[in-house]
Amino acid sequence: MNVLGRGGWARALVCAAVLGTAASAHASPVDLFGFGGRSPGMAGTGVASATGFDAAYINPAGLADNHRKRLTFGYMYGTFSLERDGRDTGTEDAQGLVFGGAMPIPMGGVMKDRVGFGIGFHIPPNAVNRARHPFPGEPVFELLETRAQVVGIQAAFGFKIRPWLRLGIGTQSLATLEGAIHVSTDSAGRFTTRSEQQLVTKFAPLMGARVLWPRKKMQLGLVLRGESRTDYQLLVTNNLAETLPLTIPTLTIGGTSQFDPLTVAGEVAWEASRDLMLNLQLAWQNWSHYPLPTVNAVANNPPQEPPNFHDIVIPRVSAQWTAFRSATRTLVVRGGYFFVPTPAPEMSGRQSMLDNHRHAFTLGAGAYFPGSTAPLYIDVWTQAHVLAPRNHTKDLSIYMPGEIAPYYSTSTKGRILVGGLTLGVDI
Amino acid sequence: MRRPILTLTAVLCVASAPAAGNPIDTFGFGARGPAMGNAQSAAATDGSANYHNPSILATFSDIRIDVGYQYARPTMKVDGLDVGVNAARGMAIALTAPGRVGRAKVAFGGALFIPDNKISRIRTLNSQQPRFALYDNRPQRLFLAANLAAQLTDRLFIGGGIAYMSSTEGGVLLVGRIGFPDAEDSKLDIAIDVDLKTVRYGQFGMLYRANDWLDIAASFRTSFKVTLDQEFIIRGDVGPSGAPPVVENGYLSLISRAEDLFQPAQLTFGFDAQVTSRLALAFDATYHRWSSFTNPAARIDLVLDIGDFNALLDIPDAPPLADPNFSDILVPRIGLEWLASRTDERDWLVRAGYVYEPTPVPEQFGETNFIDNDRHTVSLGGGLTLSHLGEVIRLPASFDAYVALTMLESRQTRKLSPADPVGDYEASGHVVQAGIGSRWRF
Repeated sequence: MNVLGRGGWARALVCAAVLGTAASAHASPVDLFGFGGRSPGMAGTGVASATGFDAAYINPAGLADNHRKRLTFGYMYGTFSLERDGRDTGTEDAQGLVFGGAMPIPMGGVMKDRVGFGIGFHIPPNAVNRARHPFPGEPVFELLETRAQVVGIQAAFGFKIRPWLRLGIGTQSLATLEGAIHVSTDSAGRFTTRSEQQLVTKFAPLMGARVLWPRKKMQLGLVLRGESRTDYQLLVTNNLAETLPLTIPTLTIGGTSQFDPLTVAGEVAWEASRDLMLNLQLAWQNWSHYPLPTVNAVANNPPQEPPNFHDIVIPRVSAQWTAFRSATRTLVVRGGYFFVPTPAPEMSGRQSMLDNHRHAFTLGAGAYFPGSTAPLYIDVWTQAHVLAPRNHTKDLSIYMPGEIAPYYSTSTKGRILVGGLTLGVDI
Repeated sequence: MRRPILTLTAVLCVASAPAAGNPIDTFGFGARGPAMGNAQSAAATDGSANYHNPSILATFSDIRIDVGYQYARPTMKVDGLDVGVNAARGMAIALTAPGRVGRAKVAFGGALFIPDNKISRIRTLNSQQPRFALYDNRPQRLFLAANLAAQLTDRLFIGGGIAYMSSTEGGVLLVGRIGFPDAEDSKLDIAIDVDLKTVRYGQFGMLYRANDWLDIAASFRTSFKVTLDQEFIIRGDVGPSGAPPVVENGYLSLISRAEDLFQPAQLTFGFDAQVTSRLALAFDATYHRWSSFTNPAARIDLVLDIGDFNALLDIPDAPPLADPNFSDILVPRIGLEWLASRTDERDWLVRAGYVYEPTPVPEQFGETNFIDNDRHTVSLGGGLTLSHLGEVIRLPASFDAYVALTMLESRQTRKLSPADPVGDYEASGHVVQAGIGSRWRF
């Protein structure tokens, strides 16, 4: 056995520092930035207009308008500059591989040209999911710091019900980690562990509708994305009482590592001219269901203060201009803006889940070569998110004598720069 | 025979273990391949090509969707007692979309085998604990693969892709007070840093159409395993609430590293021969590189500082884990498909197969207790293809079913040491499998 001397505290403190600054989890990159190659350049709009593989997330009803089989591959990269009291939090960059496919399902009879299918993946290069959270009450950018490190898988069908009406249904796939670890000693008195961990499948529904209104050159879209969350719960038990002169309590390692709220979004796309499309979207997000990111490790801990998040409405506006169009080549330019009001209240209590109002400006472009030997579809996009400065002041009366509040007053601000590229090919 | 000292313990320990190997390795994918002994590297005609040989996807000319369900019930015995290994079951789904880029014929395919209600299960046991090494936990996982395939010449097709899984890495830090003498009186705050890391492995294949009646294939699948790397750190005082601590600034760090869900690298050569107008013969020979299997038991690093109590501790260091010394194996598979009846409306097919899998596990006369036996699998199945389902489904749809029986030869394990905590034992068993599948073309 290696008995640690006093020098071991250096290691403990280093570990504490690493874990303590390694920030929080929660929510997915598709909710933060949008999905695919087109929508992120248009402020996350597309509920009324997306028809590619990205419609599997944005609005499955759009899949009914697929006429070609198309494979798409892409990549996104984002940098975070989040500041608390003028100091950068060192938030890790976000990366992700994007790929998907969309195709018509060629049926006959009454179903002829009415069914489309799409599937899309957003896969961080290194981690399927990440659970990080400091000690309860420690300051953390609750919704941003590791939010972009979550896999996203969507699959959906779209149906053309009437010439003017499309409906879609699909699912987002997620996983929940459950398990148990038992620490004990073997017959020779050596430490050993038995563990079992299960990734359990969870699904969140996606439903959408789209109405075409050609006389007004408008399309209306409505989508419902069910609440999606990834929980984890590991129970750590032991029977070390016979080996150690003290016992260790049963530990619960549990919480929620990823949370996207129930979202309902409605959108209008208006073809203002042959080359210009304007989009307006309002999305309601049910953040009041936001759970505690970690549960108490031992039963004797006092209950944690709830996050007390509230629901929000996100407005999004965007425009797409077709700069050049021919039978074999098309060039489009896109731009947009959206505002995400923070669902987090001022952190004056024991929790310190920091968040800010966020203004996001987006740009994008697409170059399409449908008539070429290899019909290519290239989209690029970028987003700049600006976090509005915010102050939080603790109510020190809630702390016991001798307790140290993580801050008396703290100010937060920051920015996020993110961009992506997708390449699609018709097959 | 020396009576097992801890046979009952061994049985109880194994009893909670799950069943059967890597799900597709063990059961196949869908209901056509398993009926033919999974000799499918050249003979796959459905979404199972996503596993057996991705190059076959480029031979398809229409969109194909496969949906099926598979079930396997093992009965594993140690000294004649059923150890209650869990059944494995799950849904198999595949999608293939062929097309052209320019003049080149290409195809995209994806396949998913998802065990009921879970994506994967990772289990680690200590080194001595008996477990059916190839039937322990490996089927309890997701298979998710995406592939691309292309036709290079009139006769040559290639394909490849990646499959995904995840492993767990990270740690938790607990800070506060550990209750003493009542540990449940503890007050500990927790900080968490755990990643589900992406694990990718590749698969590649080629198919050569030698002539009108013979296809020759080769495929390769890389090795794969999941690691479980967990650290627990507890620091704080030890003592009762509201009283001076018995130990000030105590510290415990426990790091556990283990492996699970091992899949050996596999190289397969096979052929599919249309022997007569009604009879097809498929054969695969697969080399499994089991010699790279490492001991999956947990490795523990413990650091402990409990002040004056340190003098009372006498915990021996853990010795290195024993090398399992598995050996590489060659697995022959043979399958037959007979067109029993053909009309304008429907085809009836009968299928059969046989597989022999020698065990890669050596005699377990030492510390380890990896249980495995030579296996024989016989399978039987049927298929119905309906040519006309009406206007909506214009292309033929197929419905398949199969049953298979795997028999594990009886094997004696005799320990060298009379003091071995597990003792001698005899292992045997069988696995009953069944499945249904449907193939839809659009």
